[in-house]
This record gives sequence, C-alpha cells and structure tokens, in this order.
Amino acid sequence: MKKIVLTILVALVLFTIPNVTVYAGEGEPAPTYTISADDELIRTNEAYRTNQYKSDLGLSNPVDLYFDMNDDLYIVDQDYEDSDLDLSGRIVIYDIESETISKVLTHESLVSPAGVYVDEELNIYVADPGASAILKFNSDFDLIQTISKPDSIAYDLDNFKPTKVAVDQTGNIFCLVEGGYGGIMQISKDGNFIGYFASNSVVFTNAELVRKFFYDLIGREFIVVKTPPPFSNLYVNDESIVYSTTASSSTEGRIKKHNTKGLDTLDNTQSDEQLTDIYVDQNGIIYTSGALGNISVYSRYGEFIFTFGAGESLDGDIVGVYSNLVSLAVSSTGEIFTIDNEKSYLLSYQKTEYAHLIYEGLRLFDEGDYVGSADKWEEVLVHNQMSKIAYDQLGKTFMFRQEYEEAMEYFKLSKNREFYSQAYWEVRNVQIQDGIPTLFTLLLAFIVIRIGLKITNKKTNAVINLWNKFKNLFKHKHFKEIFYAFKVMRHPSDGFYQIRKGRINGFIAPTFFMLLGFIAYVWNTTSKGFLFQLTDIEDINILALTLGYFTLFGGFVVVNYLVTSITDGIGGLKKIYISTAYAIVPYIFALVLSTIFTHVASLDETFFVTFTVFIGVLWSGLLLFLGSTLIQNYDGRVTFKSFIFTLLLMIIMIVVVLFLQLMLTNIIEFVINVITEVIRLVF
Amino acid sequence: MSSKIKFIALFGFVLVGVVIANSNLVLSNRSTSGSPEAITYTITEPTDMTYLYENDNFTYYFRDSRDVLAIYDKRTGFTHKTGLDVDAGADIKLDCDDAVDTEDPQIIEDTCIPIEDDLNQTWTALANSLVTIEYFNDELNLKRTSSASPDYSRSSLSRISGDDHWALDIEFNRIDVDMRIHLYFNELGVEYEIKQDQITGEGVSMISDIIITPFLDAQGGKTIAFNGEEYDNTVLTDKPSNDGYILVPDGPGALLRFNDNEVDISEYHEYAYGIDLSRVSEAETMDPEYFAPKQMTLPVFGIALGNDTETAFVAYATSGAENFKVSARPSGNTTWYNFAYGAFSYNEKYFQEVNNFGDGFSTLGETPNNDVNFKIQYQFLAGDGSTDYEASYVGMAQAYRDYLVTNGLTAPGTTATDSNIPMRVDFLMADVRKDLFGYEDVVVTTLSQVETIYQSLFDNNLRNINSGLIGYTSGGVTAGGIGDSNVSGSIGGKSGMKSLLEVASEFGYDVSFQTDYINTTELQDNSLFSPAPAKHISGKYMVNQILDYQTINEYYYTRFDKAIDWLNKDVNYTNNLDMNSISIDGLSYMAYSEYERGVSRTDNINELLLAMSEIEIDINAVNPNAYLLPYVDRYLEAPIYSTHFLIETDTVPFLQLVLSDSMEMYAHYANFNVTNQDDILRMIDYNVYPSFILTNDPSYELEDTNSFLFYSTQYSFYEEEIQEVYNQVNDVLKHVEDQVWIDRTVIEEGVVRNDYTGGVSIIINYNNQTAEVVNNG
Repeated sequence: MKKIVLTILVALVLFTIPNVTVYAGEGEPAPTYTISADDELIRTNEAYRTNQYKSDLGLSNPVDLYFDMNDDLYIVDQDYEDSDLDLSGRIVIYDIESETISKVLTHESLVSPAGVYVDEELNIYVADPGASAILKFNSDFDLIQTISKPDSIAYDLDNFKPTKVAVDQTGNIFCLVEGGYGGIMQISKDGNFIGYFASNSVVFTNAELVRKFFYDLIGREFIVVKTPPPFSNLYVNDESIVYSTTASSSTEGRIKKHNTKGLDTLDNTQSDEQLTDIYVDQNGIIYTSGALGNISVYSRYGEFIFTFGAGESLDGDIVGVYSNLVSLAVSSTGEIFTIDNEKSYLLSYQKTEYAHLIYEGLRLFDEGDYVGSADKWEEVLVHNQMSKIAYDQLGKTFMFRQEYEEAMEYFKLSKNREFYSQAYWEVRNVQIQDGIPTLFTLLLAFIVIRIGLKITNKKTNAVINLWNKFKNLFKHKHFKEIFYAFKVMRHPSDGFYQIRKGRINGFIAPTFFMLLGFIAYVWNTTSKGFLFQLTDIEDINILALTLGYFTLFGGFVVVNYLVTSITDGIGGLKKIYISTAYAIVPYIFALVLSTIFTHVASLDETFFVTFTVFIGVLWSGLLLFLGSTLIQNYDGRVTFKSFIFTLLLMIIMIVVVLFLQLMLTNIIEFVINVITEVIRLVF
Repeated sequence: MSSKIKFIALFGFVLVGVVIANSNLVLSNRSTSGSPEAITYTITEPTDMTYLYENDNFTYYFRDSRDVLAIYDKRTGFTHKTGLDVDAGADIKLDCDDAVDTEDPQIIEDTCIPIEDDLNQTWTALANSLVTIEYFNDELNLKRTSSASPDYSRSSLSRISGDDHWALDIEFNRIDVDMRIHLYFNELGVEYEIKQDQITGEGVSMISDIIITPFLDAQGGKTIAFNGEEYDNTVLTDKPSNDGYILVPDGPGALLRFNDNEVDISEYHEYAYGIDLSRVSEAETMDPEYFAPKQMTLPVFGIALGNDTETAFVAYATSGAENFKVSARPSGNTTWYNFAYGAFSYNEKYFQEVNNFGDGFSTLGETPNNDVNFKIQYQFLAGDGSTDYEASYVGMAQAYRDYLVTNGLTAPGTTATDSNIPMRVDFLMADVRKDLFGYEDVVVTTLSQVETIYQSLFDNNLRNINSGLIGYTSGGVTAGGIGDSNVSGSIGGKSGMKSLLEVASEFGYDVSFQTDYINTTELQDNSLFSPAPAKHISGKYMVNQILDYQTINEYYYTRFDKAIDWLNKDVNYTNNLDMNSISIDGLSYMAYSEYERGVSRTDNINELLLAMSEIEIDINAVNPNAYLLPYVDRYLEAPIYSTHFLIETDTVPFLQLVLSDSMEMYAHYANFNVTNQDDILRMIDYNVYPSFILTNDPSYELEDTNSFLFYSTQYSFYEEEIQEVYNQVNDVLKHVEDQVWIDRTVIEEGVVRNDYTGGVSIIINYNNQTAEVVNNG
C-alpha cells in the first residue's frame, strides 16, 4: 500500500502528458487516468465529457454547490453585492434543464454564505461565517431558524463561523467551523450543540517522529504544539452516512466515510492533493474535487476508480483546466457540476459509456449479481486492458462464485496478492486433496521398487555394484571438497579445523559456493513466486545486485584478513576465503528452499518463507564466527572484536568505493562529452 | 451501437443522408452553432481619407495621421478599416480641458467627444496602427511600439511601382528600427510584404514580433462620455458594433464568437507549425498535465461579420509562414474589443545556462532567425456565396483552398480506388521494457499475425484498407534503430514482410512502415560519429521530458539532416520491397532551426521539401504542416476537436474543408473512445475516415513499455467494432468520396447540412429527436 501511496503521489505531482503522441480521447483537453496493476497512474478512456459551460451567470464568488431532490442546483455566491438592496451574498438556484438561473435567494441575514444544504422538504440550510450562524430557510425563502454560537461549555471556540453544513434524515445538523480543530460539529434539529461527531488526530511528520525518538531515548519530553488537520468539507447522503474531506499534509485519510460513531470506514483511502469538496451519489460512488483541479471518483469502499481534469494551464484558459476548483455536485443522472472560483464559471461533465460500464459493474456486484457484474467488467476490459480495478472486480466476481482458478488469473493481472492468496489457498487445498491418492500410489510404487531391488541385489549384487560405481565418481578431489560443506555445516569445529590445517585447500569448491551463492541470491531476488515477488524484474538492477554481492563477499574476506593480520590472527587470506565460502552454504540452501517455497506457499505461510531465510542467515553467521575463531586461533571475544572492526572498515571501504565510482563516472562522462562535441564539430 | 444510428431517408433530387443519433444535444464548444446576427453597423465609404487606388472590387483610402488603411468593398458597400481610427483619449482630454476653459458650449461639444475606455496611449496607437512592433527592452521585457504612435514613430506612405503597389516607410524611434512595408492592392484585397533587407537599424535584433494590422475589423468597444464637467468612467456606453466571429485554425478550426464575457478570458495565441523549439526559453521542455494545445498547421485566420452572408476576410501568410503566428483576443481581455491579427515572429529570448547547476542568464539570439520575406494576403469575402466566396468560415476555407490549389500547394482531385471509403488500420508490432540485463523486446504482433488479421478483415468485407507498421525494427517503438530499416527477426523478418506484402497485395491493402523521425530516444541512435540529437540555441541538447513514461523518459529532437537521411533510407528500403507508401510521424509536424548547424527553420523545411519531392511512393503523414500538403496522400490523425480554449465558442471543419478532395483524411484512432456516437457522427460531419491501431496480443503486455498509452488494441476485441464503425461511416461518406465539399450549414442547433459537388448533401443530426429538413434543392 505504501508503494501505491508513493506512486500516486509522485505520479500526480509530476505527471505529465506527452505531446509527442496523444492517443486517448481526442475530444477532451484533460485526460482521464486510472490505476494500473503496477499502481501507476495510466491513461484510460474518457470517463466524462464536458457538457455545460456557463461563464455568463453573473456569479461573483461562487464557493459551493448542492443539488436538491428535484435536481435544482444551489450555488453559493459568497461575495455578491446587490447595490440596490445593500445585501451581500446570495444563493443562486440554477435549472440544469433550461441552463438558466431559476431563482435567487437573497436575505438581509445573509452576509457571506459559504456552504449550503437542502433537505427533502426543500428547507435550505446556509452556513454563513459572516453572519456567524447557520440559517435555515423554507422553500419560500423565509428565514425559519437561526443557529448561533452554542452556549454549551463543550464548545470551546470564541466565535462561531460555520463554513459547511449538512443534515441527516433525522434533522441532525453537521457543520464545520473556521478554526474548528475539534472536528465535525453535531447540532440537534433544535439548534443545541450535541458535540463533535468526528475528530482528526494529530499527524506527526517523519522529522518530528525522529526527533521524538531521540527525545525519548534521552528521557526528555517531546513537546510540540500541533493541532489536528482540519476537515475541509462534508457531505451527508440520504442514508445519513457522513462523508468528509480533511486538509491533511499526509496523502492518507483525506477522504473519510464515517460510521455512526464517527470513525472512518474507508481504510485510509489515498488522495494525492488537498480536497475541496466531496459528493456521493445514490449508488455510493464518491466524487471529490481537488485543489489542483482534479476530479476523482472512488467506489463506495474507497477504491480509486479514475481521475480527470487539470489545473493551472500555461497555455491559456482551457475548458476543464481549472484555476481554482472549489466545489462539485452530482445530479441524479450522474452529471458532475463543478465551479471555478477564480474564473467564476460553471462546468458540467456527462459520463461516457465507459464510466457507466464501471458504475454498473460496481452496482451489480454490490447487488450480488456476479454474472452481470462480470459481463460489465469484461466490457470495461475491452476498452482498457490495463485497468487494475477491472481485473480486480472480475477476480472478485469469480471468487464469490467459488471459481477460484479464474479468480487467481484476474488477481494476478491486477496484482492483488491478498485476494490471489485466498483464491490460491482454495485451489491448493483441492489440489492437495486430489493429490493424496497419487501420493499414496507413488509411495506404494517406491516400496515395491525398493523390495524388488533388494531381491535383485541379493541374487546378483547388481545394485550394489552400480551404487559403488556412482559413489566412485564423487571421490574426485573437487567433489569431495564440495561435499565437505555438509561436514562443515554439521560439525563446524571439525570442519574448520581441517581448513586451518590446510587439508581442505582447493579454490574450486569455495569459488563454486561463492558463485552458487550469487546465483541463489539473484534467483531469490528475481524469481520468487507471484505472491512474494514484490519487485518487478524491470525495476531490478542486475549491476547493483552483482556489485553488491561481490563487494560484500570480497570486501569481507579482504577486510577481515586485514583486521585479523594485525590482531594476531594466524589464518591467511586463502583460509579466510575458503572458510567464508563454506560458511555461506546454509544461507544458499535457505535461499533456494525459500524461493521454491514461495512458489507453493500462500500469504498465510509467509512466516515459513521468512523463517527459512532467517535460519539460513543465523546458521551461516554462526559458521562465519566459528570459522574465524578456529582459523585465526582466537577466542570468541577476539573474534567478535575483529568482526566489529571488519564491519567498520567495510563501511569505510564502501564509502570510498562509492566516492571513487562517482568520480570515475564524472570523469568518463566528461571525456565522452568532449569526444562527442569534437566529433560533432568535425563531422 | 449500430442500432443507434439510422440511415433513414433518401429524398429529393439529391441524395440526402439523414443520420439520427441517440445522443444528447451538446451545446459546448465542440459543436457549431447557427450564424451570428446580421450586420447592424456599417462604415460608409471614407471619403474623408486620402484616396489611393481602386480596382473592380475595392477602393483604397489612407489616413496618414493614424496609419489607417480603409478598404471599401464595392460589392457590399462595407468598409474594412485596418485600425480603429480614433484619437488617443489623453489627447482628447487635453483638448477638452482647453475647450472647457473657453466655456463655449459648442466648442466643448465638438472637442469633448467620447473617449475609449480601457485604451491607453500605447493601446490606442496599436489599435490604429498598420504595423506594431513588439520588442525587448534592455531588461528583456516585452514592449510595443506602433507605426501610428505619434511620439515615437514616423511613417510615410509612397507609391512604388504602378498604382497598386505602395509602401509605408516607418521609423520606430524607440528601438532605432527602420522598416518598409509594401502594400499590394489586388482583386482579392490587399497583400503586405516586409522584406528582410528593409528592416534596418541598431535595434533589429530587439524585435520580437512584427504585428500587421492588429485591429482590422475589430468589433466591440466602450466609450466614456463627457458629462459637462468630466469624463465619468463609471458610465460606459457600448460602441456600435457587429455580431460575428474570429476563425482560428486550432485543431480542425475554431470560431471565437464576439461575446460580452463576464470573466477575463485569456487570448488565443499560437504559432504556425508550432513554436521553434530550438529558440524557446529552455532547452528542456516538460509536458503539461493536460494535452498541449493543438498545433496550428495552417498559417491562416479570418474574421466574419454578420450572418455568414455579408462580409468577412481571410488572411494567410504567403511567405515566411514558418514565422507566422495568430493572436485573437476576446472583449474583456485588456480592451473591450474583439480583435485578431497575424504577426511574424522575429527574435526570441532564451536562457543561456553557464554551468551544470542551471545558473545562467536570459539573452537574445545573436542574429535574427529569419531569412525569408514576410508576406500576408488579406482576402475579403462578400455575400452568400452565389457570386463569390461566402462571407463565412466556409468561404474562408474555399478561398484559402483555391489559393493553395492555384499555387500548387495542394493537389486536388484524388481519385477513389474503391467505391467504398478507405480505412486506416495500424499495427503496433513491438516495444521494449526494462529487464534484468537491459531492455527486452515485447512483441505484441508478428507479421504472420498481421496476415491473419488481414484475412479476417477481408472476410468481414473490409476491402479498402491501408496500414502502418509501428515499431517494426528490432527494439520496437522506443529502442528500434531508425534508418536501420530492417524488419526485426522477432516479428518475422524480411521473409515475413514479403509474405505479408503478398497477402496485402492479394487483398488490395496498402502496407507501409511508420516511423517517428523526430522524437527519438538515446536507444535509437547508435551513431558515434554523427550523434542525432539537435541542439538548442543555448548549446544544450533539446530534450522533452515525459515523466510518466515507463522505460525512457527523455526524448531528443533529432537533427533535421539526420531525420531526413533516415527517411531516405527507409524510402529506399520500402522501394526495395516494392511497397507503395511510407508513413511519416514527427517530421511531418515538427520543424525547428538549428543554430549549431547554422540552419534556420526555413532551411530545414526546404531541405525536407526537397527530400519529399523525390519520394515517388505515396506519403502518409501524421498531422502534416501546410508546407507538406502538396506531397501528402493520406493525412493521418486529422484533428476533429479543437483545444477547447475557453475563448472558443464553436468547432468547425475548416481544415477538412480546405483539404476536401485533396487527400484522404483519417481521424485519430477510434480505439480509445468507447463507441462514442458523437465521434462517429463527427467523422461523417467532418468527412474523415476511421482509423484503428491493433495488436494481436493483449495490450497489458505493453504495460511496462512506453507504448502503455495503447491500453486497448487487441484485435479480437475490436473485430466487430471495426466493422460497425466502418460501416456507419462508409454508408454515408462513400457517396461523397470523389466530391468537393462546397458548403456547410447549421440548420438548427445540432443539425448540420454538408453540401458536396455532384448534388450530394449529408445531413447530420446530433440530437436525439428526429429532425425534419425541408429539401430546398
């Protein structure tokens, strides 16, 4: 998940559109992006097309949008000043059918409205920080209730400047106030302050966390005055579920869907930018508008679907490229209306067939119609074969229909390892059950063959002769030295003693283990089973692997030799090389075993995979230690000391090597540049 | 999808296709609205100005004090003025102050005439001027000085040779530049010429742009009246003005209707053939997060006044077009006027880096980058098209088309090879992705798979197909050596190619290699002795960063001589294989100067044209610039949408009207819009043919390659859709395949009628209700 966060963040902050090739959707200036299986933002079909563009509504400073149940759009025009009536601020009601303003709510109490909500009886709630009140108007625009600063001692702010308001089915009012770090205020229908419905918690930056760690270490109290990030907007749907956006510095937790206790249920949905507004349609699809001009759409569970729009055009004013996107609202037909505060225009988007397919796929899945949903997602895939959500949802439809093999296929394409593992567990379970008779048959066959061979051997000695011939093959010095590794593993004292005495002194076997170790290391890094191979092969740098491995191995041997030679060690470089190579054999076995295991294990067995490697590392470490002690004729304390020195010297060596490498790269680059320039000028 | 479009009626003596789409009426600037209101305000023949010349169509007058040329159109009685022809407000105020002192009501009334709002001294000079110069001051900030600026410039008009050739000599004293602009009066209107050797003086290299007649036919304006005591700028009065629009060649063409914008909207400001990338501020460019504005491929613009049947002009650069740019400003942006002008770009400032840390300074090019004369023709249109070109964007397109045809700049009269329209089906063969040991080819289509797909297309009765093979060399799209030509063994090699060509020839299909010769990666250039990347004037390599690309993010722009050399090699290879065409990307729409090699943009274009003239096979070009039009046989990726600038109110098929019957035009790949009904109707409306890009293997194979943009290309998914889209477009457009497009009318909102020669009309109904259209023959 962390990778997703990073990718989205980097991609969105920096993402750029090539003008080399513009393939997708010629019709819209800003492309639609979705997430690929690699959790990177990739272009996809147009999800929405711009429809109504209105710059002539006479809006002065539009800040908020809301649709009532009749699909009338309420626009809060904050700083509109009526010179005749000496009024400031108004609510404009826009008819999306006729594309005209149908009514305008002005009232002497309206000072500088910032948020609006309309309930089922068409009562209009206006959050007006200028008036320091929430004003409730009936459908005839009569002011019927004014909620001012609560008297309750639980309300700890000096003033009451409500900026956003929403109301649930029972008439409970939720609102945000300026400087309200306490969170979302809940006010009863009578205007009494009930308390804070939901609060954000203080977020520490990484730097602060590091400082806190060191303060804790020296026993001092880490004092920093921090306030929780404020909520930036809220929405209450017709099921009285409260959604909110948070102006957090972290990309996590900017979108929240609160349960009745006010807790977030979206499992840290990501957003790359500060959000300005949130809206939810009747199917639970969540729409957000961002400060960078992007409109993003999420499923009811907070899964990212797609994003479109852009901000800050350097090429002039372009439709769909916002100067300041402050609010959005979605009509009952799914048309998204947005407002640009700086340019004061209203812009709407109609969903395309592509977006419709996705929403239908999600809806049918929620309704339990997995076959219908799968049909929709397959159609989505026709139009984007890299869509993570499509593969993911298809996988889920198969999983819920207990068709695990198909599910695995799709989860693999969406790289959803968690679900893949679950599906794989089921498939493997069946495979094991199916395999039991075969296993028994094989066992039986083995016993029969063994008895048969015994009988044959008794009569002719053929088997024993064959076995002896085979054994003779391994009497060769190199083979013997290779198999000597098992002795070292089982009886390290004996094993290393022989090395110290020079009885095991060939170069072939240790070099073989060093190379085998490298192969095992590369194999383990690049070829684990799907569930455990978290790094894609294209992101792996073989040069770095090679350099890393051999620098560590060779560096250890050389540096350890240098250290031991000045600390009365008696083993030479060769012996250190041999003993080190033998010592890493358990690690090699562990790598091979765990790599094989990753191909058959599900995520539930992750422990065994890591444990195998852990045992290998521990075993090899022990051998390394024992080997050094025996070869150098040290006691444990001296070996430990020499290891510490070796480690420190290795670090210095690595720094020096890196420095040299950097210098060398610069020199090479400089020489190449000079040669290229000369060639350019001459030819 | 097919059920949604019905070809429901053929009636009248003409064939009339009525296409009904189940789509909602789209009122955004993607569509074309009806004609503007008729003209309400006409300038009468300006007999108070100095008479210069007259021909059958026009009488020319000049006012020396303000450098205003007036062209009286005898056909309409309408006078076009190159400037506003007003005095500066500050001068009027001074005179008014003096008049007030006299306390004579008559003098006050005569002197204290209304003054222009939002038009200061500099802007008034610009609004009047025949020529305005934008120049860099010592701090390299842009300033303006106009020929009609009395304090800083001096100008005099004189007859040169014959009555129809005059010249205005201007001394721009602010930057010490002398310039002569020639005026040639002809039956079309007036042509201006500025010769390079007639721009002289110390300040020549400080010139940024030379703007020609910025306020010709400008409409709008507000005045401040004198209320007896003072000029009260709280009370503004609209000046008499006409309805109409500006045409700019953005995408297929866009109209900028004269609106009273309530918000400040930025202007349209684009360079013909795109900006010269080697002279922009920085050597490294980075793409924006929205699609970059569409390139202006035709050096043309125009203004129409009235209801499309009254008066208009179209202006096009006839020389020096590669330095031409068009600017159009809406009312409310700086001034209350809607105006548009053409300008010639002269010198640019750029950032000279002095070290690797990016330190440096801004400076100007040592020498002006242009070595051609600037010429621009203003052609005035009159009436409803019955006697001359219609005074609308359609008439502008026809006038410009005839100019191109007459001068051999496009070749009309394509002959259809089939009774059905053609279709473009490109194949993406391979690309590379990173692997453990460098880069690994990802082959998504082999040549034998193309054969299979051809068979399938043929079996589906698709008979008129041409294809480009993209990424056909080893290394595919991103790492494939260019100019190396050899078909990669991994897709089937030369033998596979020969086999494919046999199959294609059997089916009558055209196959070509498609290559981007300009946007290349370091993996594509393996030449040690002649490195391919071109250099910016600052001496750095020109690089375009595309940050979300998967394998390589840096794209170089190739040296033009290299790119042309590669093209020639590919042409030879194509010839050796007896192929009939070649498809060119990049080189078709990009051109820049190369200071290091001492060549200007014009030189590079000329070199390219020379190479093109020697190519005997058909040329398919992606979005080609105007200079390539005589050589292009197939226009690929023809835009059917504008950039969607807020200032744009309508999109119109200007480009398609200009090139009607000159070449086959293909739309962008239809893969990437989900059966979008509007797009299919638009292809029919804009007379462009469908195109697809296909692979045999699933597109997700391309996810880790730079071709990840092709997220949906697998043929098995598209087999039916290709037929559906083709059949819908073909059913209508096959009737006009050989015909010239002669008129386009918006009958009602969302219903468009296109008339072709041969008495064929097509009516496109974008609405979801049946439209009743009276056939008036």
